[in-house]
Amino acid sequence: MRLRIWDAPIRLFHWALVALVPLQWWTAEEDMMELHILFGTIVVGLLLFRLIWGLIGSSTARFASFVKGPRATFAYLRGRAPPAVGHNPLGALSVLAMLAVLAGHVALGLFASDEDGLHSGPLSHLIDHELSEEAAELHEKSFDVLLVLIGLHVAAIVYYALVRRKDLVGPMITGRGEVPEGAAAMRGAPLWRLPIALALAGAAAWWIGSGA
Amino acid sequence: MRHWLALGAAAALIAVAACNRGEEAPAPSAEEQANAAQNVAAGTANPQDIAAVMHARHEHYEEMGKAMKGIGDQLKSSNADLSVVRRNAAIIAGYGPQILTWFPEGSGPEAGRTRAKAEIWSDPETFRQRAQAFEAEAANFSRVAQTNDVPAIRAAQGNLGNACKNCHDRFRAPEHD
Repeated sequence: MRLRIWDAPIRLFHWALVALVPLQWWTAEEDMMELHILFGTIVVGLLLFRLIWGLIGSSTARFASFVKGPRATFAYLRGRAPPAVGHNPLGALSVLAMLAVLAGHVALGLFASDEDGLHSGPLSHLIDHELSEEAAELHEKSFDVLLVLIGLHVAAIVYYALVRRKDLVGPMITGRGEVPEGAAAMRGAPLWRLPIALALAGAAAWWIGSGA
Repeated sequence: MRHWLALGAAAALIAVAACNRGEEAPAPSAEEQANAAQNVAAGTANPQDIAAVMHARHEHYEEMGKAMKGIGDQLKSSNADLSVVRRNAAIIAGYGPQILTWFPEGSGPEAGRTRAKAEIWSDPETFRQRAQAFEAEAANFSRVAQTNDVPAIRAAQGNLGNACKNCHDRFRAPEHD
């Protein structure tokens, strides 16, 4: 049965990152640092939104619904997991890993400075120049880690498409897909929560971007 | 138990040693640096003098980078502490006129680890122009920083940054590969 799986906020969040991550790489390569810092602040807002939505959003967006312990994860690997909609336990691990690495990468960027002190993140004034330069180095290195995770993510999508004959991209665009028999339906979040989550995330990102 | 501690300590020391790649020669003292600069000016510099000049210029550039950040940190905020801006502007303006004395013959890639590119000596005209443009911008920034016109100071900071970049883009090698 084709049912709702991902709500609009989750889908928009996902595709916004798909656009912003390469964009950020490019603005850094081309030394367009004002844009890089602006877009970086937007990514901060997106991550904060995802965090909030993971607490109050639709059932498949909530961390509590898909983050499973080792027992459930191994049960899933042995094919003994109950039918469910949304992220399976392995998908959950990859989501957590990507969010964590991206959050760390962005946090480092907030404190980073180039070696000439010309361009620096909005929070770099809180630490001295040497630490800022180190943050910049780690910011660069953590991007490579992020790339590896993104590569694994894409490889998994391709594996599902070619080997398991399961389209995962369609549902992330339309929000609807094949839901296994017996799985509980996705429950959307009340609409009034969306502007609240957006306002909170936006305000926090603006505050951070202004130097906190 | 003790064996594990010893092994752990050994491993830690090895790790530290491994991380400590390329021990640099001890930094020349201020006196040695002054002597070296004199010898360079007199045309009697030996390899130690060249090394001292290279070390000094590296330190001075790092100070300028730190000063630029100090300026940027203030100007980014809504209530900039202009005394900090002026102090840092003075540091940079102080070094501006010295730049051309920091690159004697033999202090390029042939001398060892440096990001100074050979172009500095193969294209001295352009290098001189850019160094002098930087000197002028640094002096201008210091001048504007004495006023309380924050928008003007920000504009001058932008110009100063461009002057740094203009020289670095052509004459400084990138940090990695």
